Amino acid sequence: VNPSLVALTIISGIVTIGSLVGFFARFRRKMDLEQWTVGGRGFGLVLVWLLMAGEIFTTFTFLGASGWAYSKGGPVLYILGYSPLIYVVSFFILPLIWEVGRKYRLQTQADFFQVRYGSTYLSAFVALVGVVSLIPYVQIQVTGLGLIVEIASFGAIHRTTAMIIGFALVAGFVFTSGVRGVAWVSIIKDLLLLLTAVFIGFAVPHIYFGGIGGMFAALVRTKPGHLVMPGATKDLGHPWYVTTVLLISFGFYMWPQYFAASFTARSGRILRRNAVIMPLYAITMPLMFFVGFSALLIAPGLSNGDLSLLTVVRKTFPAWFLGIVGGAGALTAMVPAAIQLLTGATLYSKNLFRPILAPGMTDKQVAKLAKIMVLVLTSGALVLAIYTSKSLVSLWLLGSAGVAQLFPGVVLGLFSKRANTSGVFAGMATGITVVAFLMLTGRDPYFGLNAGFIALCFNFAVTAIVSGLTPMRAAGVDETLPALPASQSGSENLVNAVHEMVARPKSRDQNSVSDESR
Amino acid sequence: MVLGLPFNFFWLISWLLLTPLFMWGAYRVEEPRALDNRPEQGGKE
Repeated sequence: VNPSLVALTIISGIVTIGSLVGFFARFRRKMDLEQWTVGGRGFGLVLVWLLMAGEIFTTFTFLGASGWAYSKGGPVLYILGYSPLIYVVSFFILPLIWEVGRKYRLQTQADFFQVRYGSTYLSAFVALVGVVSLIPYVQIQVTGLGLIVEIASFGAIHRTTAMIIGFALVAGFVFTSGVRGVAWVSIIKDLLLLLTAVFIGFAVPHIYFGGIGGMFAALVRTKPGHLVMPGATKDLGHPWYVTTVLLISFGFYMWPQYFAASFTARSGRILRRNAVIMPLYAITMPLMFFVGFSALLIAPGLSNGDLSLLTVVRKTFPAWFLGIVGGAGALTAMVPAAIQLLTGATLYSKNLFRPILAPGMTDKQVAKLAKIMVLVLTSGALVLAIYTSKSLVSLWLLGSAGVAQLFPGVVLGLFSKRANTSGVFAGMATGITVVAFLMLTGRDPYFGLNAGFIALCFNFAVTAIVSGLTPMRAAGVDETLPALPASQSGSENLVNAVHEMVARPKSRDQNSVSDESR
Repeated sequence: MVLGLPFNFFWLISWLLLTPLFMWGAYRVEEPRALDNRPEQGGKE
C-alpha cells in the first residue's frame, strides 16, 4: 500500500472527526455574540482547562519547539523557563480580570480597557495591537498545517494546497460553533497531542541511542556547543534568555485569546485551579526537545528546523503512525487557529470598526461582521504563510513582543488607581514604536537583550511618568457598554469601581459556590 | 547529568512539577480568604 495514501487517509479521518465535533458543539444553543465569543460564561474546570490547553499548546509546541531544539540548541530552554512562570502570573491576575468581565459583561480584551480607562480610542488601539499581533500567530498554524500534510504525503500534496484546505475547514467550524466548538475539539486534539508527544519523546531517543541519557551523551560528543548558550546562534546568550523569560512570563496572558478565555469561566476559583494544574501539561515541551535534539544527529542538514520532528517520525515509524502524528499536528494547528481567528475577528468588529466607524451597529450586525472578518484574517495569514519563511518560534516571538506591550495597561489598571488613559496610551505607543523599530531594523536582540523586553521597560516608565503628570480623569465612556449605575457613570467613578471590585476580596467568586466542574 | 539529563534540563523540568505543588499551597491559602468574606457562605463578614 502506498505509504502516503495511508498517512493522508488517517490524517483526513482525524481532521474530519475533529471538524464534526466542532460543528455539532452548537446544538441546542442560540449562537449570539455572547455565546460565540465567551461560551455564555458557563465553562467549568474541565472545559476551561481544555480551552486553555487547546489554545496554548499549538503547532509552536509540536513543530516549533522541536524545530528550535534542532536549529538553535541551548536558547530553546527559554520555553522551559517561562512555562511555569506564566501560570503563576495567571493565578493572580486572571481571577481579577474575570471579576471585571462578569460584572460588565466583557467579551474581549479591548472591552477591559474600555471599562477601566473609559476611552474608546484606547480600546480601539488595544484591539488593533491585538489583531496585528495575532496574524503571525495564525500564520504559525497555517505554516505548520502545510508542513504536516506535505511531509505526510511524501511531497505529493503541495504545502499551499494543504494550507488552503485546512483553513477552509477551520473557518467553517469557527463560523458555526464559536468558542464552545473549539473547546470540544480540544478534547481530541489534547488527547492525541499528549499520547503522541509522550510516545515519540521517549521512543525516538530510545530507538537510536538507547535512551534519553544516551542521546544527550551522543549530542555532547558530536556537537559540544549545541546545548549551552548561545547554542547554534551568535547572539542568543544568557541576557537574552533572562529577558525573554521575563517578557513572556509577564506578557503571555496578554494574548487577546487567552485573556478572553478567562471570561468563559463560571468563576474566578476555576481560573485559579486551572493555573495550578496547567504547568503539568507543559511536560510535553521537553519531550519535543528530545525529538529535536535526536533529529540533529539522525537527520542533520535540514534546511528548515521545523521539519525535524516529522522527518524523524517518517524515517522511524510506519506510515499509519505518521498519519496519527500528522492528524494530531493538524488539529494542533486548527484548534488554536480557530480561537485566534475568532478573537481577532471579534476584536476588529466590536472594538475597532463599530466604535470608530459605525457606532449605530447592533450586536447582531457585529456578529455578522466578525464572521466575515474570520475569512479576511484567514486569507491574510494564508498569504503571509505562502510568501514569508520565518521559523515558527521567530513568528511567535514577534507577536509576543507586541502583545506584551499591553501588560502595563492591564496590571496597573487592576492594581493602581493612578494609571490613566494618557499614561497607558503613551506607554503603549512608546513600547510598540520601540519594539517595531528594533525588530524591523534587525536589532533583536539589542545589546544581548530581548527587544520586546527593552520596549516593555520603556512602556512601564512612560506609563508611570505620564500617569503621574496628568490628571486621573479618563477621556470618556462608551455608550455601547452595559448600563452602569448612575453613580458610576463618570469615567473617574468607573476607575474607582473597577479598582474597588478587584481590591475587595468579598466580591470575588460570588457565583462559584457549587457546580464548578463539568 | 541527573537521571540522564544535563543539570540545567533537569532543573527546569523539575520546576514544571514543583510549580503545581507550590501553587496548590497558594490556592489553599487564597481560597479560604475568599470564602470567609462571602456572607452567603456563612463567612465572617
